[in-house]
Amino acid sequence: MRSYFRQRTMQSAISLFGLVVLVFFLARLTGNPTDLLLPVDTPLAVREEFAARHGFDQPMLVQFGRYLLDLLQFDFGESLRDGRPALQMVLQAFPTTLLLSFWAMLISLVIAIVTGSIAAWRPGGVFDRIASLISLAGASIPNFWIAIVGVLVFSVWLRALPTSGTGTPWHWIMPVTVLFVRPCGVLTQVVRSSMIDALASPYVKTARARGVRSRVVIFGHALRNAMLPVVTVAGDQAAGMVNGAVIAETVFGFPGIGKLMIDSIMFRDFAVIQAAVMVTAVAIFVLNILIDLAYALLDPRVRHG
Amino acid sequence: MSIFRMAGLLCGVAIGSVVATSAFAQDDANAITIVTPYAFDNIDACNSSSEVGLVVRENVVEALTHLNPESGKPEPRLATSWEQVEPTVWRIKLREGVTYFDGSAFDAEAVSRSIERMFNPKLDCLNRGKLFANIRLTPKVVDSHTIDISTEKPQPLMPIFMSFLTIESPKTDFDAMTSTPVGTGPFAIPQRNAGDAIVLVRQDKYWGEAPAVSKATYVRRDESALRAAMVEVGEADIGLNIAIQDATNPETDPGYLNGETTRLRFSFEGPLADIRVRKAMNLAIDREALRDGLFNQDYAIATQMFLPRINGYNPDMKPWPYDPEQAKSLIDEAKKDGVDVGAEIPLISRINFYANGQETMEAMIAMWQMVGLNVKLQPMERAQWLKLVNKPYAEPRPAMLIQEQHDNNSGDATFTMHFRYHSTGQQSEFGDPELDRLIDAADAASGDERVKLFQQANAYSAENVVPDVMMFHMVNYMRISDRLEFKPDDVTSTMMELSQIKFRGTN
Repeated sequence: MRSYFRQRTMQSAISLFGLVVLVFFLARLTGNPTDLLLPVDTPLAVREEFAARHGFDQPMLVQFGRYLLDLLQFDFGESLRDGRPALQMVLQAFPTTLLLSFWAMLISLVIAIVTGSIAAWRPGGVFDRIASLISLAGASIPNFWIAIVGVLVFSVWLRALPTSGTGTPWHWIMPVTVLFVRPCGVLTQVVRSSMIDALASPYVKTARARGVRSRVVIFGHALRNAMLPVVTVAGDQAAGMVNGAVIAETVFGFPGIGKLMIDSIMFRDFAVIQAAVMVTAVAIFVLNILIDLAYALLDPRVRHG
Repeated sequence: MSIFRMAGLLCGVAIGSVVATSAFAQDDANAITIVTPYAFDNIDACNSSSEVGLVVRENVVEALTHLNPESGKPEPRLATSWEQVEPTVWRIKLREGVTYFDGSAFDAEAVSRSIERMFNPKLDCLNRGKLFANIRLTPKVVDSHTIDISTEKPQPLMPIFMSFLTIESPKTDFDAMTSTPVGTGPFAIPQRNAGDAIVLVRQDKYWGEAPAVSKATYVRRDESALRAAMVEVGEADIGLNIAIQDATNPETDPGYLNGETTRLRFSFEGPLADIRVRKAMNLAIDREALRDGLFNQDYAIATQMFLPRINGYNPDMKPWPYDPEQAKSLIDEAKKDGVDVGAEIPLISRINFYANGQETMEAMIAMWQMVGLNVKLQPMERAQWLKLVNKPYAEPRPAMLIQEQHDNNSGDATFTMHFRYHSTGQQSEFGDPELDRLIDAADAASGDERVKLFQQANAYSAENVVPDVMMFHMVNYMRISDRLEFKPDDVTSTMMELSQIKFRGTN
């Protein structure tokens, strides 16, 4: 296990370095913050003074060298917009996104496993058709549409939920819903198809022939074996949560990392972009390790291999 | 793990989710919430951005003078009087008996320190870059409430400049921007962490009349529809920058000129070097159809790049008529003289510049096609677009039209005229000696003479140079709760004084 972690850490460190290089140069290709932060009609001399003060007048490789040196000391730089340390801003926003994603994934998994398993029990049945239709719709409807329509229906028409903001559990309902609908739809489809395969397996037929109860067959034998592809897709969906979080956080005014990233990209706040990407990358690295552990837990062949 | 322990863990996470964030509750009847699209990342009063204007300027940190929103003339605020004692020196008398929220006294030393702080090269003060890039103000304390401000050259606009000289507390960090500015205004920001919502609380020891609003909370929401919904359901009292499609109720969603004027700038290259082609492009546009089809009657057809309240606005100038026949004959004339009128002319638009901007550009291109011109739309991101806007221009500069929007809320035409129409202007495309002479003369003049010269320069430019396709004075919408009495004007988008907000039935 120790050598496994060492190997994964080395691989991730190489990937992270590649990401650092990529994000540094790609972000700078999209435009100069001097132009974006200063008003359009700022005189040239003032632009040059601003660029020099923040080092944007230096050759790209010099800027990169400085950035790497600072990074070795865990110094991601300061936000151009409000002068706060970039890492502090990211770490302040990260827990909100983490909580949003946690609830969204948890609800997605519970609904997907229950619905997908029941649908797989009788493929083509009424429940299966309804579940497939709803899950396909969930996987296809754009997040922002759900968000805006949700506000219109539940806040403006029914006055049942707050439009946005934070502060009470009610404030979390719509953002979490916006975030879980798509992964829930995708995962329901995966659970269903995986369970159909598992339920057709010889060991399930044997269990049925031996008179084992249906509930035990589905959730005790078939589900465990059907979970491997579900874990893979769930990991992929969890890693992509930042994309959904951008919509949920932007529309509902949640102070998370998705919104922070969008704002930073809009203003070419390089230090914050880089810090946010790095923190997200580390989180995905940890998530991948957890997925590997889940594999090992579910499949003894992985453990022993 | 038992199901009960699991449930307990989930409840704990749920409670943690709620505790991890906080909300501001309105705890008294005169507290209001304003929902905006702005991030309020940097609210130091030495910035002249819209965000600072909405929250800080005059509410928290006051300036020396205040521009009358109707006349554009400077009026006393922290300065009670001013006079030009020498060509390059203005003597300013300051209001007595004024204190800052932090207890510091307002005096000439505080004014001097604020001016020096704005010029501190360690700070990114937008005021310094935008207004005082070429003007160094040198303060000299005369006595506790009198100060001289001198400049290298005579500066007739000093009383207008003084409306941008926001005077922060002398305890403000001299070498770092602040996210909790302290001033002498009717409101204070008792505490705030950068990135948080902003809460302004009425200051009881304010020197002027106490405002009706006791507390104002500024929150950010990016979606216009959401801001409108928040006011509708009572979560907010004022929603700013409501998109035209969400401003559905004229009673609660008033439109007001936002100080921005739109135009298409000509590069004087290729066929656009010929004034007949530039005139034809103006004559080919049906501005009323554009306004009524893509905007609405609140938008005003512009004849010049600033609003009537700005010194130098020429009220005698008329919008270009819609005359496609004359446009065609001008193009034919140019063609006969060898001008390549069939050449493709790119129209450089900026993505998401203003509401319905892209549709407007497409409609204009169709109108130009009808008179035989070949204009092609090239939408660009802001960063890409900016490379074409400011000098030094990359060579060779192609024939093109550039979509622009400009705000002049300073009170004087010089901030527009010199920059855009003088041969040395940073965004000028041409050099016309007569226009240069008029602008230079206006810059050096003061009072009525200055106004008259800028008016002449404006008229001369429109008739003899035709540097652009003038479009509209733009409009913002806001949604206002029915418990408030507030009428936005054409200054509101850059400065929104809470003291102007009243509560219905209480006054």
